[in-house]
Amino acid sequence: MTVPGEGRGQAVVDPPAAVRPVPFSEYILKVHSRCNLACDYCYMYELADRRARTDPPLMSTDIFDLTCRRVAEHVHAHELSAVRIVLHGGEPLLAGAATLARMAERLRAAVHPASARVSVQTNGTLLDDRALSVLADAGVLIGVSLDGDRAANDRRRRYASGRGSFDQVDRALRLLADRPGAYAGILCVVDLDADPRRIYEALLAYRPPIVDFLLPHANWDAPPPGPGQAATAAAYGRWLCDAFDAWYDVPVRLTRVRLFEELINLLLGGSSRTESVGLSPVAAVVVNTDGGYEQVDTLRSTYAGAVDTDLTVFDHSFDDVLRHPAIAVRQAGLSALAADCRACPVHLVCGGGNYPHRYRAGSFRNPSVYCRDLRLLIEHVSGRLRADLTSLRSKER
Amino acid sequence: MDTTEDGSLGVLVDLSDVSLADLPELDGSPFACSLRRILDEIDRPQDAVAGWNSAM
Repeated sequence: MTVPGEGRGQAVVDPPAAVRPVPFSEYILKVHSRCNLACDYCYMYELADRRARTDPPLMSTDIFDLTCRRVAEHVHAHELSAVRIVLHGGEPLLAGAATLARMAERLRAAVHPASARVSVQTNGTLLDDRALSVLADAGVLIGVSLDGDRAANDRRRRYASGRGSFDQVDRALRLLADRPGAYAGILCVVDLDADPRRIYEALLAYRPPIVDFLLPHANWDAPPPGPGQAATAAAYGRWLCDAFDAWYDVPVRLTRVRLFEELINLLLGGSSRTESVGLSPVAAVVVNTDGGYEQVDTLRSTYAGAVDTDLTVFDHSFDDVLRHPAIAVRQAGLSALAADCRACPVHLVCGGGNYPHRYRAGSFRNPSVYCRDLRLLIEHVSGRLRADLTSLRSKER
Repeated sequence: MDTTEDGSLGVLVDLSDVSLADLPELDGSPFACSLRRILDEIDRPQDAVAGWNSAM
C-alpha cells in the first residue's frame, strides 16, 4: 500500500473491521476526459490531482465493451434488480449525444433483466435542442451544473478565454424545463459571495425536479474559499441555513433539495442516500477513460493518486474492486469515523461529512473541514423540524 | 435535545407518536413530504446505500 502523495492509491491506516461488502449499484463511466469549460474550482483539472488533463480523451470502444461486460457480470452475480449509470467527464457531451445514446442502449442490454437508470451530468453548454432530443429519446436523464444567476455562475464557471458560460447553460435549461421526462436536476456549488435566497430562486426558474447545493471541494490542507476564517465562522453553514429556510418555508414544495431532504430523513431516524451526509455504505465506483477502476473522482481534490486502485477492467472484476481497502473503508460506516466524530452528538447525521473534505496530511480519519458548518446546519434543521412537530401535535389535540 | 441510543445528547427528532394517519391533514410542504418519506421507509424498510454526490 502506498503513501498518500507519493504514489498511486491510498494508504488505509488502521483499517476498520471488515464488513460484508455492498455490491456496486452506481457506475460512473468517464466517457470523455476533456472539458470545454475551465471552471476554477474543478476537481478534475484545477485542484490537487490534474492527471485527467493527460488521460485518454475518449473511452475507446474496446474499453467500453469490456466495461459493459464487467458491469453485467457484477449485476448478475449479485442479483441486483436496478442500477444507476452516470456517463460523465470532463464534459460527456464532447463525446456526442448520439454516442452517449448508443452507450446507454448497450449498457441497458448488458445488465438486463436488471434495470438501468442512465444519466449524464453536463455543464450544459453543448445541450442544444438536437442533443436533448437524442438523449431524451434514448431515455437518458440529464443533470446540469449551474451556480445560480449570471453573476454567480460566471464568477467560477467560465471558458478558458474567461467568458462566462451562463448564456449557453440558460438556453439549455430552458429547453430541458420543457422536457421533464429527461430532466434529472441541477447541481449548484455554494458561493459565499452570492445571496442564498437569490441563488435558490434563480434555480427554481428552470423548474428542476431536484437540485443540490454542493460545498466547494476543500480539506484541512487546502481550506475552503471565502473570507478568512470562513471555516471557524461557519459561513457555509449560515449560507445553507438561509437556503434551507428559502426551500422549507413554502406551503407546497417547489422542488426537492437533495442535501436538505437527506438531512431531514437522517434527523427523523432514517438513512441517507447520498455520500455527503449520513453513514450509509457508498456503493459507487468510477471507470476512467483508460479502463482503470477508480474511487469517486472528487478525491482528486485531495492529492494526486487518491482515486487510484491499480485495478483495471482488463484484468479485474468489480468484485476485486470491492475488496480494495480504500473502497471497503467507504462502506464501514461508524467505524471509519475519527474518534472526535464518534464523540460528537451529530455524527449519525453528518456521518463525518463528504469524504474528500476530511483529508489532512495523508489521512481521511478526521472531521470534515466543514464540520462547524454541518453542525450549524444540522442543528438548524433539527430545530425547524421540532417546531413543526410541536405544532402538528398541538393541532391533533 | 433528545437522547440518542448511545446515550449522548443528539439532534435526532422523536417521531414515535406520528403516523401516516395524521398526514392527510397536512399540505404538500417540504415538512409533510419529508414525514411521508420517513414513515413510508419505516413501513417498508430497505438497505440504503449512499450514491455519488457529483451527479443528479
